[in-house]
Amino acid sequence: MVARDLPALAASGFRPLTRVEYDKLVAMGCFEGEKVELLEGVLVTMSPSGPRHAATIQRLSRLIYAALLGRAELRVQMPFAASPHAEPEPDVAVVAPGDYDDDHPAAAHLLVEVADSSLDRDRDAKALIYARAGVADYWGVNLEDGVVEVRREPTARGYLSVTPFRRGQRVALLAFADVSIAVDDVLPPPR
Amino acid sequence: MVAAPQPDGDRDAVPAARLRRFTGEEYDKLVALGYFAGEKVELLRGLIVTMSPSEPPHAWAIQRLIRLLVSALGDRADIRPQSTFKALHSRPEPDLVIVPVADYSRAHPSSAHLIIEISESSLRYDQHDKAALYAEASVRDYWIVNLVDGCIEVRREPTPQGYRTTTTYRRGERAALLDFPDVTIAVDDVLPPPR
Repeated sequence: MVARDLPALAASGFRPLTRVEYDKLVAMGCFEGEKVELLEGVLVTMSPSGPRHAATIQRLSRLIYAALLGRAELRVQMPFAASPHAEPEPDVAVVAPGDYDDDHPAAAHLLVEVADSSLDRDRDAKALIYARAGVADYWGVNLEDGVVEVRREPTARGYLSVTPFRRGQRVALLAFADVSIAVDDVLPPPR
Repeated sequence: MVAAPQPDGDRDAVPAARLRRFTGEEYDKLVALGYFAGEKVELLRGLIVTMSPSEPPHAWAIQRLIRLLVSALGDRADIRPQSTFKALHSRPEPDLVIVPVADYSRAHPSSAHLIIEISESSLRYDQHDKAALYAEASVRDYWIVNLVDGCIEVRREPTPQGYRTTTTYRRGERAALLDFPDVTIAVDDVLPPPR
């Protein structure tokens, strides 16, 4: 359960914050200087990015940006309008060209989350959120296990297919089949 | 009312430690901005939760208690039904709060002679979460009108870890207010009449 210090909460329930309400709070400067995101109506703090995590995002951005120049936009750790109750900030989002000045994108060609350890349980919550948002291609880069987990076939209950890609393999983007990325180019160099 | 995401297990994978909870002051500001207008919500330890609607036995007990307490307490204390009480990172709305006579027009009370919850579906919640909250807020007298078991549970001696004592009063018995020992409430006068 989300909050173990409120064990008997079943008597009532959470009042989910909506994305509209959340955006208004952000505009008022409510979470200034904090790293938070809205997941299924509750505010969640984001763990700070370690060098390995940040460097992986940097590598991914470089590879994807160069390969998709002009065909799609790359957004790094920016809000994604996943649902009326969720506004996560995926590590990397590949979205249709546009500026998104009026609202955050609600659809994506590809989302990528980088997890330092397999204990980063956010991934499960986020996979469900992205599946429900209809994101057809979601990659989870797991640095500890050295694997890129590619989730596809989104349904309301989650992704139907999960395929692990390891060193030596390449992953193609679902929306841009001509673009593939080598797992070795994404993961930190082996020591 | 905003529909809750379905199913209920949605947030299971979000670790509790990672929740960004609201402070009491932030919540007050949201309320002032009209965020939850027309909704029954309260802030509990930084989380906004919905309150269950009142069933007839619940409303009945509140109605009876107000009548009994107003006449017994006179102008010695004020009674606030289903109004906000200020606790740390929490803004619960207990069914009844008996407070010292004072001006609460600018700020909700943060201390009370007595807090009463009428509990049916919320019994476990009121016995555990709410009790912990009120004990932390040093509320010296906390009553649960337990509609499930037909009794009044009186909790006293608050500590940061919870109440030290719980005394149960059943039909035929009377419970006295800690701060006004001359005021006693008969369990039979508060519970719905037996069928």
